[in-house]
Amino acid sequence: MTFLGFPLESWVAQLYVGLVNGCVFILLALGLSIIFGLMGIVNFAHGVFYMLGAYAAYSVIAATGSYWLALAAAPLIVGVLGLGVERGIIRRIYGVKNAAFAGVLVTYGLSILLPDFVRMLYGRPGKPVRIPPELTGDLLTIGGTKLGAYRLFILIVTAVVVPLLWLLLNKTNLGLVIRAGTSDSLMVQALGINVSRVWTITFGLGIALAAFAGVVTAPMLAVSPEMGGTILIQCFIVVVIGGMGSFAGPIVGGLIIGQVLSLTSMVYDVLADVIIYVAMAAVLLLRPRGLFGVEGIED
Amino acid sequence: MAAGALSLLRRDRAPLVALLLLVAPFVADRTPLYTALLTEALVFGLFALAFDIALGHSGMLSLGHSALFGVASYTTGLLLAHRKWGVGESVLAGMLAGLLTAAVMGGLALRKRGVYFAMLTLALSQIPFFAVRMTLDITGGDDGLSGIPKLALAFPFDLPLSKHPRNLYFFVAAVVGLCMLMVRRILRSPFGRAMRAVRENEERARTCGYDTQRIKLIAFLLSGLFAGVAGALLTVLLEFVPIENVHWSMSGTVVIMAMFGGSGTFAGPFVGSTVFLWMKDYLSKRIEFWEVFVGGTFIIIVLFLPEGIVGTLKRHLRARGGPAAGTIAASPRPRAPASPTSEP
Repeated sequence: MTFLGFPLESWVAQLYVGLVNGCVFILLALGLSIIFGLMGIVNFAHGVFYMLGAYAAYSVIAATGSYWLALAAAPLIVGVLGLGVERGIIRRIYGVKNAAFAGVLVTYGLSILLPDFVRMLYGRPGKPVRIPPELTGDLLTIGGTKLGAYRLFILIVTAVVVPLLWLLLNKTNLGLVIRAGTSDSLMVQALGINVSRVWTITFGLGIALAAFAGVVTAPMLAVSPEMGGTILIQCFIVVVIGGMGSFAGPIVGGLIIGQVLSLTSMVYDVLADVIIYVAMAAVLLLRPRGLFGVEGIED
Repeated sequence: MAAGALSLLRRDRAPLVALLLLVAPFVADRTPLYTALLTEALVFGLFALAFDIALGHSGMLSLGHSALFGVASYTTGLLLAHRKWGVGESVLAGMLAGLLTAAVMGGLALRKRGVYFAMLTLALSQIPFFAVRMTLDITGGDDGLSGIPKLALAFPFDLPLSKHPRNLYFFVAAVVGLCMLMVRRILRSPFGRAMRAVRENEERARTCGYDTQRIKLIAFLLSGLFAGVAGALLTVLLEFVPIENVHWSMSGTVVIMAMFGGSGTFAGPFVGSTVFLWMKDYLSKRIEFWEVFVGGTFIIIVLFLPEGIVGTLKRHLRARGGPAAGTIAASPRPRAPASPTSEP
């Protein structure tokens, strides 16, 4: 049985791959969206922190041999680095005129600096990260197509992390402060809450999420200093399509972009790189604030 | 007589700039700025000036200028290599290509403002990059576009360009000089004021009756036009189109150049491009990982020198200008905010 000239099994396999890619986009775009929501900063270094997460995982595995340790340690290491970046650099631009532009420019500078720094430390060629032995092999085989077990693992961790994040933001005191700070940080400050510390924590949290995405994708591609470039732009598209300011936006946007990329690469792979930009243009023309965007936040 | 000339120069610096452009190649080879580097600095200075029409003068941070620049340089390159057009027509076609690309990009991205605009321009600028990679047989893909024949200017007089660095310099300097005059005219016109009004406070400008959306679109088109000239000139200069011209890192380069020199000032983009290219030339010959310094310098500029080289110098000169300039002008301005658009 075929559909559009491709056997049904290929469609299933491709949908599966797209779903898993979507999960990675969700992890990245949620971090991007949380940082933007609270601090008003579009983190152009987000892709670079994703790359650093993968390199941190490589280093931890090289030192200890354990992927599982890397999975826990790499987001922690890079998250702490993120705290340092917020304290050392980003902090200095709060409150200035046009802080949003300054934020873009500073993080853009980081995205030039850090990859070269990684090249200096690790060399230019990419580094391999192996799939942990527990997760090698295929989950099941439909017809001739295989569904890798490692991809299912990515699916599961995303399904665990995203609800945890929702609980953190919606059911804890910290989450309450973050959400309140998103709508009016001055008022929160006036109520005697140390907003400045919350900003630091939020930035670190977003960065840790990016690094986590880096760790889980590391075994599926060569870890290289450039890996953060394209995916950052794809995440911007996810956020633009989904809409800023809501929890559902990055999730739906991520799932859509994951499928679009995966399916076009099967049907007509020449267009795979371009089609997401067309999709973005279409959403913008029809609904400028994105599918789930909150009105008024886009200025 | 001399005093008269001096006061004329104080009012209008154009003759001074023209003289500087005329003399520069005869002095350049004795300094670290050899003629070829100087020519490239002029081209990138024009690109940074074009970019700054959007950022420094209208308050639009575009991260997609690589598309405007790159499409123009590919258009010029394709016409020179495959259609055997003359240099003049090809550069004009490149200029139009920059304008058209800006029309498409601006038409879509200007639906959003601020950082969203920046994100959208960045995303849209990826389309020409992938288009070049997809049309490997015409554009040469990742290897860049080669096959441009030996170039010579036919109009207004015959002038061989290939392998004649000084001729090339004067051709580029003439075009860039002309563009500088045009940009200056625009910035001093009522439209230029409207652009600055939008930059300072879009809401207020709209309340005053300005069609801010139209002003921003026109400013973006002008930016694309001059970025197109710069892209076309780079093709003539290199006789080759590297794919980097249309890669998003080119957008980063032009932001750095404009901010480095001083966004919102007229001389800033040229100072920025010259210092940047010299730094790159100097560092890349000595240090393998020179981008660490570029990125680091960039962060330091944004944090500590937000007005750039020219903007900071201007402020210090104004502060030292003494009581003659009036007490308000003489008093140092309040600590400038870390905004790329602080200096008119």
